[in-house]
Amino acid sequence: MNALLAAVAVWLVGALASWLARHHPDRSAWIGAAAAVGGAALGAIAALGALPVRDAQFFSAPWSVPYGALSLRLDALAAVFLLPLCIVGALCAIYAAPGPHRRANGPSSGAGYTAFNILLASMAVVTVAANLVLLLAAWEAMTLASYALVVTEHESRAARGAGFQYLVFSHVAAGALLLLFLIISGASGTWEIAGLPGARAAVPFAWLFLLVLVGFGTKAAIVPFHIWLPDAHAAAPAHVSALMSGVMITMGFYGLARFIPLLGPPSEGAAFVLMGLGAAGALGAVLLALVQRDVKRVLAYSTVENAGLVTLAMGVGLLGQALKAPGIAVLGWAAALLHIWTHALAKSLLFGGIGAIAHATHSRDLEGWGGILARWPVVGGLTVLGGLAITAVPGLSGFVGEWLIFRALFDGAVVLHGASRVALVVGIAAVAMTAALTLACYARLIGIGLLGVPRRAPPADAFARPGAAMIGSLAALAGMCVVVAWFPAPVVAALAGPVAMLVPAGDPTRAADVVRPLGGIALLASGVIILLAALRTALVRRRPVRASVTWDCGYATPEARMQYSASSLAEPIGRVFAPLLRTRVERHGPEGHWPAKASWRSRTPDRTMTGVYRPALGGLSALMLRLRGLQEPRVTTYLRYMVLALLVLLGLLFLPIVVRP
Amino acid sequence: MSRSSIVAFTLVLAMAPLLPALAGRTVAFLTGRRGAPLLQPYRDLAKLLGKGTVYSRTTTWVFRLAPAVVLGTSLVAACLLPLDGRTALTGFAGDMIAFAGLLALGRLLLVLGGLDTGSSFEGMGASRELGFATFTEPALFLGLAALALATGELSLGRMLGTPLGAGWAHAPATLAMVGVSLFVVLLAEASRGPVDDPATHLELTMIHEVTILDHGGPDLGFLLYASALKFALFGALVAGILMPRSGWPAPIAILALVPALAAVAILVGVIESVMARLRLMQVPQLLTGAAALAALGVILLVR
Repeated sequence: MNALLAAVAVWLVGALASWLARHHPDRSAWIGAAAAVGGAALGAIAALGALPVRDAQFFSAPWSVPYGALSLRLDALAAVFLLPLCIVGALCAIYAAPGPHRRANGPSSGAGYTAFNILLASMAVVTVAANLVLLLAAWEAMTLASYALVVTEHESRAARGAGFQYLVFSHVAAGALLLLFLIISGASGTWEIAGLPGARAAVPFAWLFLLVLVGFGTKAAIVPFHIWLPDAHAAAPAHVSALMSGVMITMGFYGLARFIPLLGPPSEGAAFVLMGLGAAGALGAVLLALVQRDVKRVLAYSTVENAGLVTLAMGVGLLGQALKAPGIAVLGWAAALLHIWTHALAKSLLFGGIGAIAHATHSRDLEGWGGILARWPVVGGLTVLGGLAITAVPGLSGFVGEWLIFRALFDGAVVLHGASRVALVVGIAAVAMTAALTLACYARLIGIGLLGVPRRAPPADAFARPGAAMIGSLAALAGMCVVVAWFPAPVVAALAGPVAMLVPAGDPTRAADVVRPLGGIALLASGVIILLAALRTALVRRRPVRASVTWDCGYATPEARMQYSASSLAEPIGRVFAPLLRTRVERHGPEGHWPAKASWRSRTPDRTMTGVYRPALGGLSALMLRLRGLQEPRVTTYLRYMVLALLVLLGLLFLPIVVRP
Repeated sequence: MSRSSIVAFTLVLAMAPLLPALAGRTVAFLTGRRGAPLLQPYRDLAKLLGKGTVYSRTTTWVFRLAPAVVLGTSLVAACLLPLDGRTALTGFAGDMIAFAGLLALGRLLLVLGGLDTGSSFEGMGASRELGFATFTEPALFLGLAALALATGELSLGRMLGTPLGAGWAHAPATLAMVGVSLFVVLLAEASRGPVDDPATHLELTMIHEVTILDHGGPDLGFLLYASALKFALFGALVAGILMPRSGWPAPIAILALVPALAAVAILVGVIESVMARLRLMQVPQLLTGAAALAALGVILLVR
């Protein structure tokens, strides 16, 4: 616990110091980065210490805020979220460390590091806050700090818009949390989380569950509350997107894991809701990821997809608990936590790599990319590795997480009966399709973006020697992706502590036993592939190997623009899913005998935005406009309104439904 | 790892190139031609492995690594199937997920290798390969789920081993449906008609052939062998479901694989001769049908 307190102190002092030094951008950035790394090291020590321990560590200090107390509780469930926060946080800070590759954010980097450190500190406090008021305060600090980071490039209108949208969604969610906390603390008479399970609120479980889902699910980017994420991720600098995508959304899952058990006994209905939202969200999000042109939006929608998979796994865990099948519950919760870890690693690696390339080529348009791997082998190679890691193919980390999700679904389908069995088999099919679409999505991102030849000429100085800090941080993430895949059992064994907290009846070591053979398969596959590659090398050694052009059917002047484009690669899938995607195509074909110009443009809007939020918000603002008629430029009108309001309140006192204090 | 499983594994590796040849020979016979000799694929492979190769200047290490990955993953996937009808070379609960994952890794590298050339031919093939996989994957997993439910087992070796015989006693309809569904998956995964046309060399109609257009020499040899091996693997999977052999004496169970795989190859040849290749947009419908069939098999087992 002391290490954690020291970590938070280091982050906050670092934030303050880098703010004070903001007029010297380089010095300020160095201070901020050093504080982020130092704090993360201390935090990681605290997390590693608490992860396997069954008993929580406490800290308490008085706080002048009403109902608030600075009470912290570091237990295994907090540690499982704290650990990736520290690892990814430190590596993101190193990645963005001052250097020649960071010209774009130069002027605001000092303030940027202030917000970055505050974000790290507030997320750490969220995981350990034992008091609802403190949790809410840390939650709000997290939102505001990440908002400041999203609008780093505030000169751009798109960034400001994305930031505002993020702020609005976060605060609707925070409102839901406030309401939830008022209800449950009112019922149990305490604002300490530890005291909550004692009393049950008079409000039905379903309403409380809905509030938890809106409140924490918005941060976790569960569909349909994900809408803020793609814009915010596209606008933010790469290391911020990496931190938000890999770590900040997991704070929402932390909230779900912490608060759903407090609402009442595990409910089958809640499990089905989580599984349904997760499966549908994963499928819908990966389809949208597949058709994006902006590389960072591809990654952002892929984050929503992975959030869906985690939600699905949590649903399976909850279902196992509700149906008294602790074996299934252990696998489900372990799968959710493991997927959170593996996704944090792979997605930060991808945001780092793709962000560096976008920065070097001054473009986020996938249709203009190509040939990066040949020109920038180290960054390109690490990005390819990240793509493989998140695609859930054997030999890299993503597979272990996804395999465990599948395994939980299969186990559940065999053991459970009736509606649960149907739901789990539907889950299997949905995850299988999601996996195939993810593969297509990343084959497109890597194959079109990094391979082939550049479709648009990159700037002359684009592929300068990358900074050692950037390469080092990306290589560390890639190394962890490999280690998790080759030695899955020790990694999953580390999750036994939090799983035991979530499923007291289960055997928490089961998940580690179950994944053990995966390491063997990864090693076997790697060995066979290396042998075959060596055989190929030996076969061609004494034979003529020539370099030539790609087969062009004898066409005289092949051009880079004749390559397959990202849009055309995804088009057949898009056409099959047209009823879901509703892609809008504007085409102006060549006309007349001497056609001069033709154009083709397609756009795939997010249908939760166009179909749900925009009409709803439009209706709301129309209503507000109508209410404007109530306003008059006379004081007497407003006095009349006040009297009216008082009378209505007085009248309410006589109604039996109002609870008087 | 039993002796019979090693023998069966070796047998399947050895006879894999025979299957495309047999399917091609069937097509030739039904269309009144003589066709290539059955051993032609072996000669082709021997020739390709002895050749040099040409690399496009566009390509990177991804292109050079792809054939080894495609073949390596198919080989490891073969280790997970109980080819002798009772045990696999290696296996564990949940290995069917690894089976699908290995094939997915092969597909990813195949596609990336194609896109590495920067050619629109390969892009076209890659696009179709990825698009069809979107539908074969759920069909395969639904089939595996039905098998898991019918047998109560979670590893390929055990699913297709002893419990499958009992499964035929109480869930015959499900197993028959899964067999048919996985046969359709085979047609897509092994790039056969009516999904793909292995015979033409017109880029616009091909899928697998066009994705590997720029590979040559040993690389092409690896890819062709991997494709034949995939055919054999799915053939063995279908044969394993429709013809459970765990009760048979080991030598007969292994030898029975030869006529079983030959029957699958001939059936593929017959289908290719009586049906035209489907229009590209109709293939997802066929594959969705296969998934629906497997799903129906699952529904029969919901209690």
